[in-house]
Amino acid sequence: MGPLPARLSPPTTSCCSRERPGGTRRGPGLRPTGREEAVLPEREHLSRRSACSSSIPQDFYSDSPGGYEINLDHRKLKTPQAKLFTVPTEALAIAVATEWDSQKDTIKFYTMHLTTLCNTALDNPTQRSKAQLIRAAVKFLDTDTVCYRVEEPPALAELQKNEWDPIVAWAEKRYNVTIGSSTSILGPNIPASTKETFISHLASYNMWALQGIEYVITQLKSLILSMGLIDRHITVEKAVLLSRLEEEYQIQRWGNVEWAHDYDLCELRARAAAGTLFVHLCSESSSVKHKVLQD
Amino acid sequence: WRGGEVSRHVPSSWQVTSEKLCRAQQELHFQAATYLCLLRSVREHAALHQEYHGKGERSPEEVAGLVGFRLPQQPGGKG
Repeated sequence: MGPLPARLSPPTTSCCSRERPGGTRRGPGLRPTGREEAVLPEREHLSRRSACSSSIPQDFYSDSPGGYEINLDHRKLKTPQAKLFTVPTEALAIAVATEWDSQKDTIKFYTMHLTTLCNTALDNPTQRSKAQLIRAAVKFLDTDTVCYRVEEPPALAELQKNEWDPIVAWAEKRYNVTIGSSTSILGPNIPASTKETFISHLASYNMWALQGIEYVITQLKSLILSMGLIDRHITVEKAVLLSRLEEEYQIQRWGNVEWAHDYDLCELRARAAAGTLFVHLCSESSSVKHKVLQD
Repeated sequence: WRGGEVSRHVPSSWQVTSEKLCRAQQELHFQAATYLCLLRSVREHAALHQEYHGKGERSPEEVAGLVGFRLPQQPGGKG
C-alpha cells in the first residue's frame, strides 16, 4: 500500500480539500458544494497561500519526541491521523516546508512526495513492524525487474542483457551474494543466504529510512535498482531508465505518447528521487574530524 | 517559490577540508543531483497533469446552466 496524502488543517476562511483517489473528505471551514460528494480522482480547491516555516522546538534527533515541526500560517501541520508532524532532521524539515511553499493557488498533494513519505513514516497506516517491512522489501528480489528476463524479441533480450547485467554484477560484488537472472516464468532462484544478507543489511536502517527504502522498491519494482540508488551507485534518472527498460524499448519502436509515457516517467522519477532523498535525509549523520597536519 | 531557506541550509553543512578526494563531497553532489531531479520531475509532472488530466464532471448547477436553466432553491432541503 502506498503512502497516503497529507491533510491540511486549514485556517477557517480557506477552502482546502484532501485529495485522494475515490473521494474527498471535508475538513473544518470548508464550504460544502455538490461536487464534494462526487467521486473524482483529484481536485484542488482554492486555498489561501500559506507561508511555511519550519520551527525548531528541540534541536536534537530522537526516535519519538523532539524533532522539527512544520508551521503553516501559524498552525502546526498534522498527519492524516492527526498526529503532530515532526521530522528527525532539519534538512528534511526544510525540504518539506519547501514543498508546501511551492504550492500556489491550489494545493496539489500529488506533487508533495516528501510530505507524503513523512506522513507514512509517522502514521504507519499499514501497521507494519520493522521486520515486516524488511521482509516485504527482500521479497521483491524473487521477482526483481532486472533479474526477470525475456527471450523474445531478441533485440529486447539483448538490451536487457547489456543494461541489466552490469547492475546485477555490481550488487553481487557489493554485497558478496549470488543473484543471477532467469528467463523462467517463475523468476530467478534466489539463494536463502542472499536473502539473509539483504535482511541483515536492511536491518541497519532506522524505521523511517526503511519506509523510504520499501517505497522506492515498490515504485521501481526492483530491490537491486533501489540499493543502487541508496548506495549512490546510479542516479535517479538511470535507475528509472533501467526500471522502465521495456517501456523505453517499446517507445523507441512504436513512438512516444506524451500524456501517458512522459507522465509516467516524470511521476516515477519524482517518486524515486523523493524516496531516495528521504532515505538519505533520515539516515544522515555528519561529523567533522580535524586532521592533524603531519610535517 | 522561496529558495532562500534551502540555499541557506546547504552551505552551512559544507566544510573546507584538506581532503583531496572527499567522500562527503560525492555524497553531497549525489544529494544535490537527486534533489534537482525531484524538483524538475515534480514540475514537469505537474505541467503534464495540468495539460492532460481530466477536469472531472460538471456539477448539477453547471449542467443546468448548459441549457439555460437554474436549479430551484429549496431552503428546507429536498423532500
